[in-house]
Amino acid sequence: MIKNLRIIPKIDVKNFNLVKGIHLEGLRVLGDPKVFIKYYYDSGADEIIYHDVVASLYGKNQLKELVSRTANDIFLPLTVGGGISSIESIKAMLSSGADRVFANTAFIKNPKLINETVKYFGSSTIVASIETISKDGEYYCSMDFGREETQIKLDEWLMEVQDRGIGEIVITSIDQDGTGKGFDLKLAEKISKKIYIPYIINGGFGKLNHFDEVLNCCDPSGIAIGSILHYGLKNENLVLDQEEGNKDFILKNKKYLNFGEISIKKIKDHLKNKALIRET
Amino acid sequence: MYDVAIINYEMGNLYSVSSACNNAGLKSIITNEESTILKSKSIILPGVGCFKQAMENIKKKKLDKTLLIFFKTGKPIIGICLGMQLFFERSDELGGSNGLGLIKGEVISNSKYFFNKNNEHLNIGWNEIFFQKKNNLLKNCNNSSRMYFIHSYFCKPKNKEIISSESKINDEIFCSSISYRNIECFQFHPEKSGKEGLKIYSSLKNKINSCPQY
Repeated sequence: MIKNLRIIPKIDVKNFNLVKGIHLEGLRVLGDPKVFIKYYYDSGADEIIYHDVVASLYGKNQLKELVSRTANDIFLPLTVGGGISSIESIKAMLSSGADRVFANTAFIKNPKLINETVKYFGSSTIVASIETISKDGEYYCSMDFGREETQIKLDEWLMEVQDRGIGEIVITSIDQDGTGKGFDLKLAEKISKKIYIPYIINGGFGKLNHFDEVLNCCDPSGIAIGSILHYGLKNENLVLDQEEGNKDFILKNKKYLNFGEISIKKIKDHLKNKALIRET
Repeated sequence: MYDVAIINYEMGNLYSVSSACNNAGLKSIITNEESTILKSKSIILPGVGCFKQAMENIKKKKLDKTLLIFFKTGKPIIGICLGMQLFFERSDELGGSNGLGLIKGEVISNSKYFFNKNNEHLNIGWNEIFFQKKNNLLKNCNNSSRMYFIHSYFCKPKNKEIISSESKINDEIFCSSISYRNIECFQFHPEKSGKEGLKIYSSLKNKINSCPQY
């Protein structure tokens, strides 16, 4: 039984809109992130992950403004990333109201940055994001929100970030992301055998029994969820940044059938009833 | 005059503490200036990060002396997370270093007590708090409500009477808040613990309002 599992809505943003894709691609605009976050705060979220998904590609970041707006009235831990590349960029994010910061691309390009940032801010503040994709039975790490694949094997990278002192890892299964077909169970088992530091899993949750499956084969400290929460809410959130993005989905009021309408409370009640998690 | 001086020694998420003060109607300022601090009705010592580094920053800015003077005025002092630990005599962290010493006891690594896996020492997540005392800033919270913790060390006060709440990690009990004279400290983050945590800030507001001499 897992103690204190955190249920963490993951807010992917592009410019000032909340977006969601499938396999990290085809990002659909779903609405104003603030409206979603407020709802998740009121309905029992344990933490919020904020991810600027184009930051490291474009080298820019609107996240600071979004984070400080959020931190004004959302009193939950905020874990923030996208475009983090230096001690200075972490300082800027923390002073905007982030509690913890994660990076992926910058850590892969310069693994020593993990040691430097952990030494400076403490391991509890620094999180590694790992976006992994499977090929011929092997898992590899990607950069730039899945846009660039590398030859780095997941096994080796997990050990390396752990050895360099990272506080926690967020692992995204690109194969499952946005599909609603459940988390990759083979991946879950692999991670639980490989590392002893806390990890959050992300990607694929679509139905309540997906949580049972995954908790039977690994013991994450948190589960990050996106589509399964966002799609039930999208229609109330037509406050859009008009600049850019694929708004077809939301403007035509389409439905996404892979996801039932599931709230955070429903997930928690389900897991407690099944005795898969307990508090304290 | 400010209700709360949030002590800035360049560690921790000051933004959230100041947002939580706003939310409770407390007029706050983020500062390290002695005169501003001493004029304030209460202070909050926040903090995330390394104990040793924190003490160095505090001494460099001579905030240790300011905190001692403030303590003697009897006005409310709040410590959060690392800010709680700093009031103790010493910490194990990085080979050991001395703290402010206003509270007798020490700060010990989680890994020694709670975790059986190697090297794992970070406690991150929501734990219940069980009241050990009444009449403090926790009084409007529900007993056994859940608060957000993120820490690798915890405080062990010499005098158990000052413990205002206890919590558990892996069924082992530790001190999650204390109340000693005019100092009240929390190992968890009230400003990150949703509506239940914000009640602590409202209680501070009430306390300040009920004592006009502050």
